[in-house]
Amino acid sequence: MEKIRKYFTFFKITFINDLAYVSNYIGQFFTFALFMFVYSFVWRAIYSGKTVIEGYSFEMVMWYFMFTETVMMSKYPFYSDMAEEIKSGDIAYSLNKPYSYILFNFSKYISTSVIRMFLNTVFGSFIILIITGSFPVKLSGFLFGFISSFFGLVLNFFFFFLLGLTAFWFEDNSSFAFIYGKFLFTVGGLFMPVEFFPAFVRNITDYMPFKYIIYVPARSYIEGFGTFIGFFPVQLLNILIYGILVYILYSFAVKRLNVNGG
Amino acid sequence: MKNLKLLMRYFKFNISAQMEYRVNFFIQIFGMIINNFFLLFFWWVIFSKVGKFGGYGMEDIYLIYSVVTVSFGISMTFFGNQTRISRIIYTGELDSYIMLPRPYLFHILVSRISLSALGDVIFGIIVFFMSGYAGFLNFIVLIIVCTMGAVIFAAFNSVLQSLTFYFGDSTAFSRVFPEAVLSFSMYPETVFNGIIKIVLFTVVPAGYFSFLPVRIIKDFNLYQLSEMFFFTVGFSVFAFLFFKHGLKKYESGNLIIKRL
Repeated sequence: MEKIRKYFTFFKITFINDLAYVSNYIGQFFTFALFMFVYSFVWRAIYSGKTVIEGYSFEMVMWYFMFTETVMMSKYPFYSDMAEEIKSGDIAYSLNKPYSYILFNFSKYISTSVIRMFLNTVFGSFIILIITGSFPVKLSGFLFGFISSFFGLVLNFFFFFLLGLTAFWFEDNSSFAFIYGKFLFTVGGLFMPVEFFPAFVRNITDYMPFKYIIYVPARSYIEGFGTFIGFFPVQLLNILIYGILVYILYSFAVKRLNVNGG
Repeated sequence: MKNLKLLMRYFKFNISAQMEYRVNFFIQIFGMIINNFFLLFFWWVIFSKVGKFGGYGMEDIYLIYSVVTVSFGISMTFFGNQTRISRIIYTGELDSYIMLPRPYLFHILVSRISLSALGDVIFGIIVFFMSGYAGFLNFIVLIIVCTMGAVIFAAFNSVLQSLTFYFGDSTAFSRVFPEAVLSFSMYPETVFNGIIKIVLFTVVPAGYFSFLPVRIIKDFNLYQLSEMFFFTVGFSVFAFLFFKHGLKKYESGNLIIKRL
């Protein structure tokens, strides 16, 4: 119990700190609103002369996009701080403390990400309601979408941690981060629901973890409990697989660490 | 001419500095090329689903992406400090520039390069040859309009970042507008209409960064090329004057730094 309490304290401190600087999110809200505004033009043009594509109306696609963007913009990119720590050698200060480095980063990441997700969901719903003028979402979806997003964020944490670990081998990990981001954009279903993809791409996405970070939470927001529970076992399985992978790679990488001076 | 020499010297110096980490250099460039190809996925799916719309097909998208990435790539490669001007002002780093006998804004802009932006240029050239508009003359036009686009983008960033002289740290604010230029630029012109189209040729100059250059390549027109040229020159002069005027409000922080 004592062990868990210290991570909860990290969570709480980051949470309080983030709440004190809510105004920092204004810039992010602008970008968020801008994306949705631009996309409403693009999708309107795509939907001209059509009412439904692959079971999605224009309004549903816009709400779907708002939810995917909510998850996408909520992820706190701690991998760049982590890479900086590894390169500068400051990681030595974290490693000799009586806590797990992985769980320490997780507590801070999940705290900031959850706050962002809550604020983005409220702000995004408001904006998208103005743009589309309709509400094709189940109310219970907000609860199950939020839970599914939480697990999506947990899965994403392991990928961010892996990105941070690349600093043990490479000077700059921004290119890897870009490419990871693009996997979420494409096979993760950020820009459009997976149902839009050609059959062979759709089959590939089933075997990849990315759709459980973006697509599944967004669909759970729209459709509620049924969708959430349908995907939940595989989402958990992915968390388990990548969690173990991160633990093994981290143990291996730390052995490479060589810090000089003090 | 002297300024052009300065630009080339900085470019060579920065490239050789980056080549110290050779693997990283190539990873960044290839990473950006792969990254950009991913962006085309959206259009590939959409066109396979609904066919052409608004008179645009995949070959037009290749051209739009080519214009935007080559312009952005040239801009960030040669004027790599354009997104750091605000920081340079409020940290007092500006002192080290205003002591040297070169146009301050120009000197700040060229003293840094972005490596991954070279990947954008290479990607842009590849997709240009995949578009239905590839050809020697069109390629020359592409380079000309993209060079002007690169200058416009750098001037736009300079104006936004110079707001720090007037209102204090404007980093957050000055990040949103260039983001807007890029977001709007990546889509066909016909998608936008009404008042938004006026905005895109004024407040957010995505029109001059993407729509007009694409029009010039698709259907070469000397009048439109001149329009772009005069906008580029006019906007650059405005950016320099805006910076110069702001500089009068600058107070040194007595920061001592070593620029390497």
